Amino acid sequence: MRRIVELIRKELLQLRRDRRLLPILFVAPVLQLALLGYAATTDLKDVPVAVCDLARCQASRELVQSFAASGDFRLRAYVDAPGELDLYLDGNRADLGLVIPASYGRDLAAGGHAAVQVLVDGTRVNATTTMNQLSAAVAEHARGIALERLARAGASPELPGLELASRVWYNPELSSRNFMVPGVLAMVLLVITTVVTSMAVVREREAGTIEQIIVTPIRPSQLILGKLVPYSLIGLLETILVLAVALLWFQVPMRGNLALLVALSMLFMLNAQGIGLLVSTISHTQQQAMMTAVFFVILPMMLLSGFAFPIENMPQPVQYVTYLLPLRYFLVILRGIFLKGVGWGVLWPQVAALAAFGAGILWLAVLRFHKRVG
Amino acid sequence: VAETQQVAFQIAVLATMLPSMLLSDLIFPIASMPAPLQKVTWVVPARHFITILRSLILKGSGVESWALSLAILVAFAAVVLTVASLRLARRLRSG
Repeated sequence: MRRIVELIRKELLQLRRDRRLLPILFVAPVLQLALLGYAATTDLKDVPVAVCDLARCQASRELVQSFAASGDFRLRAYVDAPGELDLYLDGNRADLGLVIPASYGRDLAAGGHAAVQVLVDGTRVNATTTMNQLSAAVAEHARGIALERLARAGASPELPGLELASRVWYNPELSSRNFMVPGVLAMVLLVITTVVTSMAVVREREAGTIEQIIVTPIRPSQLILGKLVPYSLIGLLETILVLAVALLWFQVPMRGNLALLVALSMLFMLNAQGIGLLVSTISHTQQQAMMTAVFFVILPMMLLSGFAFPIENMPQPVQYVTYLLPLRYFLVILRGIFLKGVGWGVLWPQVAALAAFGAGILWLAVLRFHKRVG
Repeated sequence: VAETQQVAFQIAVLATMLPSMLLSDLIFPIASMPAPLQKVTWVVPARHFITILRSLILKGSGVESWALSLAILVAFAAVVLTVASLRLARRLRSG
């Protein structure tokens, strides 16, 4: 026991001497979350539209205005010929091209069908959402025209139609920020923890101090524990800092138990530290450790954990891979506690998975270190 | 001292990875971001490379439509490489 305490003291001393590392450890997560929390949104806003209005009548102006008024779309330019829209879509200056044919006003007045054409830039990340939003806007506008016409004809302004009574749970405004900020929080914690711990053992190897540790009568498990405790302390502080940013700055609703969230965050950090230490024991140089951490840990976690893309949409074999990512379970926990306010009863399978994975990876790290010593 | 500097520097480099992923238009649309943040995305090289890739692979559009992105990438590379070689020169002199 005393050996572990001494090792912890040594690690803390080393960390405190490191005048450059410590500020990065605390300032970087806060800054990154504050900045990237704004970036991580899938909400539709200001989609640039180029309009080719060949009708130039009141009806066509009303149609264009109804798009502009929603805030989802932003009128970028008016062009005279449909061919000019190519320039805007090709050059990434507009994501939508709206063509209103010359007969639009006449067709509408005649009571028949009026058609408008929309060109959508399918290379955009949110092309599908844009399409849906556009259809809804057009349908709404058409309904308005129909109601107005009925009213003018003296009929009761009532249209037969189906009404969808939708009620969104947990996130009534469908704000993607509430959903994404917890995800960014997890990413930030993962990146900083994995990177820092992946340096922990290999740094001693490069500095040559590893031999000194090996000749002391310390066991590999004690060494890993001695490395783990100081980084867990830092991790706890980082967790509290980023949680404060999410709750106070981004005002993400907190419906569950904060203490449970902090405790489970620590469990996740233990996983990240375990991965980092394992990387550290298998690497010969810090560069190697860095590369391994980035390409085999952080990149897969970012793309496969359900942070950016829904796991259900992935091909089945890839879905199996996602079971190996601690971040996957942590994201369910985070979003569950933040937004749904659920507790143990619902989250225990995720907690069990995290605990099992954490224990497994730490055991592997100890084993690897054992072999290297011998 | 050099050793910890190196660690700190590597972490600083790594800290730029998350922003370049999230600010590059790869996952989240830049148009949906707040205006100040949209300006920040201009200095993310990945953003311009993604623009060029999408233009070339999917749209097949001509050089004039992504010339700006190309110019920014070239300028960025020039600046970064110049700074790097200046720093190296200084280190070689002092070392």
